[in-house]
Amino acid sequence: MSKPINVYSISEVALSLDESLPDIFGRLDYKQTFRLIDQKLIIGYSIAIVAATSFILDKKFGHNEVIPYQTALVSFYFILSIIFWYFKKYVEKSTVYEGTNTKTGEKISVKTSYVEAEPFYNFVLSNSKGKSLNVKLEINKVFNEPGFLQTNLFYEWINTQLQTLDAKKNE
Amino acid sequence: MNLRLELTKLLNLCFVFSSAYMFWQGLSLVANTHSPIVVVLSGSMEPAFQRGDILFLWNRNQASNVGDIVVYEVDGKQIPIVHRVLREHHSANFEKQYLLTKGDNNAANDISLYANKKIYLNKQKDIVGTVKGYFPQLGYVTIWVSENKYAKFALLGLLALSSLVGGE
Repeated sequence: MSKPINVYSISEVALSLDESLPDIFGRLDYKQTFRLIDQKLIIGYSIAIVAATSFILDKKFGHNEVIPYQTALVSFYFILSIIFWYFKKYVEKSTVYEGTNTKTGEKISVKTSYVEAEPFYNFVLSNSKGKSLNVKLEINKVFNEPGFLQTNLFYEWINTQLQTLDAKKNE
Repeated sequence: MNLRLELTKLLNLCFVFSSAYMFWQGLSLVANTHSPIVVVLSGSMEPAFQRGDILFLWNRNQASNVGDIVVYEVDGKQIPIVHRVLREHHSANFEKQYLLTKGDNNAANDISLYANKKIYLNKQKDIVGTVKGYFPQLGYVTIWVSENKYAKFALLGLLALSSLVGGE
C-alpha cells in the first residue's frame, strides 16, 4: 500500500488489509471469483428496479388508477428487502474474498472481522474441502509505525496460513 | 473489481431514494390516499393548525362527520386545502355523501373555492383524507423551499457540503 493509515483505528486497519487481499492471493496463484458480490448486486438492483417501476407508475397514471399494481410492487419490495437482509447477514456474512487456485482448482474463501479497540485482525480461511482455519493476526506484525502496510510480511503470513490449512487434517 | 465497487456504491445511493419512496408508497396504500402526509400552507385553520404543521391523513372511513377536519383538492388545482366539515348530506347507506367545508379562521364557507361553481364536495372523489394526527412546524422547510427562490440552492449546497465532509 502506498498510503499510510492511522494504525490506531482498527476499522481502517481491517479495511486496508481486506483491500490488499486480492493482490496477495493473486501472487499466490489465486484468481478472485465474484459469485457472492454478483448475487448481492442482482438482488439489490432488482429492489431498485421495483421501486423505480412503482415511482414511474405513480407519476404516469396517478395513485388511484394503479392501486392493485402498487400493492403488488410494495409487497414485492418488502419480500426482496428481507431476502437482501438475509443474504447479507447469513449468506455473505463477512466474506471479503473468494478465489480459485489457477493450478489446483482449489476454492478458498476468506471472512474477516475485528473487535473495536483490540489490535487483532480475525481471519477465517476455508476451502472447498470443508477445512477451515481461524486465526488472529496481531496488526503490529504487518504495519510499521508510520502506518504503512508491509505487503511482503502480510504475504508471508497468508502463505503460512494457506500451508497450515493444507496440512490440516479433515475435521 | 472496480466496476463492482462502483456498482455497490451506486446501489447504496439507490437504496436511500428507493426506501424513502417505498415507505411513502406503503403509507399511501395503508391510508388509501395519494398523499398520506401534507403540510398546512395557509392560516385558514388557525388556531388549530399553523402554517408549516404536518398532518397525517386517513381515508378508509366511509363517511365524514360534521366537525371532522378534512383535506380536499378541487379539480384543476393541485393545492390541498385543510378545512372543517360544516354540513353533510348523504344517501341512505352512505354510498354518496356531499360535504360543505369552512376554515375555522375564515369568515365564510368554502363554496367560492369549489371548482365549476359547485356548492358541495364529493366525499368519494374530492376528499384526500381526514386529519388523524399532526406535528407542529416540522413542514416549514418545504414552505421555505417552495416560496424562496434561493432556498433550493442553499439546501442543495448544504447537501453537497455534507456529502463532501461526511466521508464514509
